Amino acid sequence: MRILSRLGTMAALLAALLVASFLLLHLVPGDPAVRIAGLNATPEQVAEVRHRLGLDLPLHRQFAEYVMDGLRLDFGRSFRTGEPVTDVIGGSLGVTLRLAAAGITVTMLTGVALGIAMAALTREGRRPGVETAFTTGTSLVGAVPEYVTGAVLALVFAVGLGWLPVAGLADPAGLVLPAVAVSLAPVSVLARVIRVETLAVLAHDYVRTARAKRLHPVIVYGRHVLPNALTSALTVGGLIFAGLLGGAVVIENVFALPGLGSQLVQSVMARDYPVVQAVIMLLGASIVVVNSCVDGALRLLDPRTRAVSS
Amino acid sequence: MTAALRAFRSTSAGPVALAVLTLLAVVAVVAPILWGERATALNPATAVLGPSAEHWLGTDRLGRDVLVRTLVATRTSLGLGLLAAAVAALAGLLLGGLVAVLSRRAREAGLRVLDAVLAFPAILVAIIVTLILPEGTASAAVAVGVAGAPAVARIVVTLATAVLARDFVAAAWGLGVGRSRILVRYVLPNIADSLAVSLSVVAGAALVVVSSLSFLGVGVQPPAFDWGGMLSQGVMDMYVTPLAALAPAVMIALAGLAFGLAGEAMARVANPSVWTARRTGRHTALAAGTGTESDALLDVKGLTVTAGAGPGAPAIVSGVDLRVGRGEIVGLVGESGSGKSMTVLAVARLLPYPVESVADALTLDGHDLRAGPGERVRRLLGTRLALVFQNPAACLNPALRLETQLTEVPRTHQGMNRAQARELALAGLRQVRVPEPERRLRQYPHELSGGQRQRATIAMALAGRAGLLLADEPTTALDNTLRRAVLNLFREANAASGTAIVLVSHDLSVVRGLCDRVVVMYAGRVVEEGPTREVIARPLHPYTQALVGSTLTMTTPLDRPLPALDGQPPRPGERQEGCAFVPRCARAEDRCAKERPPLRAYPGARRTACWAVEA
Repeated sequence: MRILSRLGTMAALLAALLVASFLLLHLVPGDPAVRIAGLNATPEQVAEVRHRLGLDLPLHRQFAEYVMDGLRLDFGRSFRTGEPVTDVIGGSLGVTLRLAAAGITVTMLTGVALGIAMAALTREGRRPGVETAFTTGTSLVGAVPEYVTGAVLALVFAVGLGWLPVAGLADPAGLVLPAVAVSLAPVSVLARVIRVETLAVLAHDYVRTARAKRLHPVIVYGRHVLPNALTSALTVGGLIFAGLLGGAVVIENVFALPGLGSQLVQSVMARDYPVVQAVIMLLGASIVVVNSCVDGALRLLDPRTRAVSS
Repeated sequence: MTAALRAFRSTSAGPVALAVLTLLAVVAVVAPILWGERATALNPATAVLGPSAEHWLGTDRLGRDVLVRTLVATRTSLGLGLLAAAVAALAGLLLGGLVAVLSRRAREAGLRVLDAVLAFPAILVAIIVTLILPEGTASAAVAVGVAGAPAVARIVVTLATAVLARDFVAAAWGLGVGRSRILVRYVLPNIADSLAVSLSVVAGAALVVVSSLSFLGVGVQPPAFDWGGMLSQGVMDMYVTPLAALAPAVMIALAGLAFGLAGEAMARVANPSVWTARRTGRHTALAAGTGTESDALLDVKGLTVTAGAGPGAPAIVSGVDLRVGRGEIVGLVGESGSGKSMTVLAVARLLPYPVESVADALTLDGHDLRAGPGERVRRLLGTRLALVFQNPAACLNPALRLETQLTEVPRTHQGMNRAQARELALAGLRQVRVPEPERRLRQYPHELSGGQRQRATIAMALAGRAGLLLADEPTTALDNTLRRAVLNLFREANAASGTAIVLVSHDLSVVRGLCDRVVVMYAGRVVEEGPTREVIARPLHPYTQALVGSTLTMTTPLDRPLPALDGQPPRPGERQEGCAFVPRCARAEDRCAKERPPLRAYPGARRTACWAVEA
């Protein structure tokens, strides 16, 4: 039942996304056909464009066709190049997902480890100096936007030290700087959440009991603390993935990666609506799917919610 | 307000954020007036130069001074950020307020929609919104504001819902006050403070997102310029003049950070309790003293526990002796704050930070526990000593199967393999009469009933065949039925395996039913001890008499009020040289206030510390 309602919510969100991306074209000020045909076009040319795009049909017919085409993954042709949208953005989804996957891996591993280590060091008000340093450091890093981090990283490691390539994906090492750049801010956020969550877990009687059993600290933290702190980490993890996709949009432009973000920005500037619609659908669907997966994973991880679903 | 301002300044981030924001505001006003023309003057002759005396941070592609442009761009960047924040605040307030005053079901639906929208990165939404706005500099800010509105709305709903639940608002509803009036007159004033904190953070984020849009080329359009636009141009010439990229990057980071820090500092002022680090904390190795071997299972001599290290630290427990024989059940009673829990935690070497302890002797089964945290002491404490806390069920880890939790002590400390440890755990569960023990081992704690969880915890505590069970208020959080069941389990474990028990309680009626011997503590010292039956029937110390007198029993006359003990026990650090009970004692004499009575022995294996008790 729970899974069905999850799938229902997911479908509703995807449908809402479809409607929103359809409406986008109609919310644009002025007549899209005029914009596409150009200001100097004759009325005949404008009418021709309108007919070609199906804009002369009633709104509900237009929407029906949009949905049918969307389900066939046919997003029409690019206004700019006339190529099918699917061809235009074909490779870019992969680039963005690779960047996001690298980013989320770095974020989860570093953020969770850092947060737990900091909780262990500062539990019960120990080492207030370390706590201040950590909070200040993470708010510093968390406040700096990705593209600034990216630009600075590129300046230092690519331009200054010459260790890593600054742009492109010709070399797999080209993914390192962008992935680090998108991860730094989320790592700070996640590490702070995990630290607070771990401190709360550490205050529980079952942790005191585990200590009273004189288990090795690695077991106390690994077996008794981590699973309880991880549930919240994953809740935030879903949000972080969405944020990473947003950051990726920007970072791709810093490092000249041919991903969905670069595609989106170019298309928005060129008012290439079909491509924009397709990118919105793809990014939005990724977010909806990932969030649903995170929800599912949480259910599997936490025995309490798992019991509710079975 | 002045107090709040002082508190704001006293936070470490507050003054820094305030100074940076003031500086930025001044630059935003002054820079365009002073250098507005220089910032836009083209000079191809000086294009893409490095730093020089004339151009401190070099020049850009079109020969314009980077430093001047960065400073002049402050007005646009800051202004657009604030405009975006204002749009977000206004739209978010309207949207959130609307959702908040809806009926409960409609509100929940509204919240779900908000949460779904919030799952999308604000920058994506902002980029897309720019598409449907007319082109222009302000559009970028409006787009960012629209994208930020759902986040503000979410905060507004959360804050407003809390206010709406309060009595005075309920009264207003009842009087038929309209929704919009309730929102404006009752809700807004009450959430304004918290909202201001959030808006500062929103302003910082908005500034950064507007800059991002400009950086991407969909925000501020040339010839207008802001930091984001400058950064994107600077990045193109990064190899030649890195400063052209670095200067605007630093400004964006600085401004975003200043807003964020200001918000955080304001939050600390608004809600200090969340931010102050909890100060409880660490157990250190007990200092070595002159311990003697003894035949008692637990032998504690001269235990002193202090809140912190050093000679000035206030004493929580002073010079406590505690002996527990094999198979003996000892009750440790006293008011909260009397030091009984700390005594137990010191014995278990689990004192919270920064509490520390020293003792003349501290032996368990003849082994000195004061030796460092070596493998031998760890094994000894792990196997011979078990603890049960206030709510036994809370001692079970919700994320682990019972089998893992019940077998880890024998597997860690007694070298058992999985099958042996499992057999032991099964035997333990059978001993406390948990039904279907095999199935239970595969289950998680939440799958057991409350009573089964209590039993499983006690089975877990006894799984290592503990010689000594330290139970700290094990029944306080329980209802009567569970309380009786837990006490019965203790009694059975004691009878079946000779487990000695130290039962910490503030409740004499619990102690009466279970303990062979009782130790009464007051203000960190033992004031009386002896066989439970005799101590309760004929208490010697005035404090014990008051304690016994205030306990309801079957023979308590119901037509008279229960005698209560007036006043409070002295807190650690306030204790004086004489007897600590003097201020509350009806029998106090001059001598009591000056000289502390020692713990003296009396017939019938009894001891008490009171000058008024004759031998």
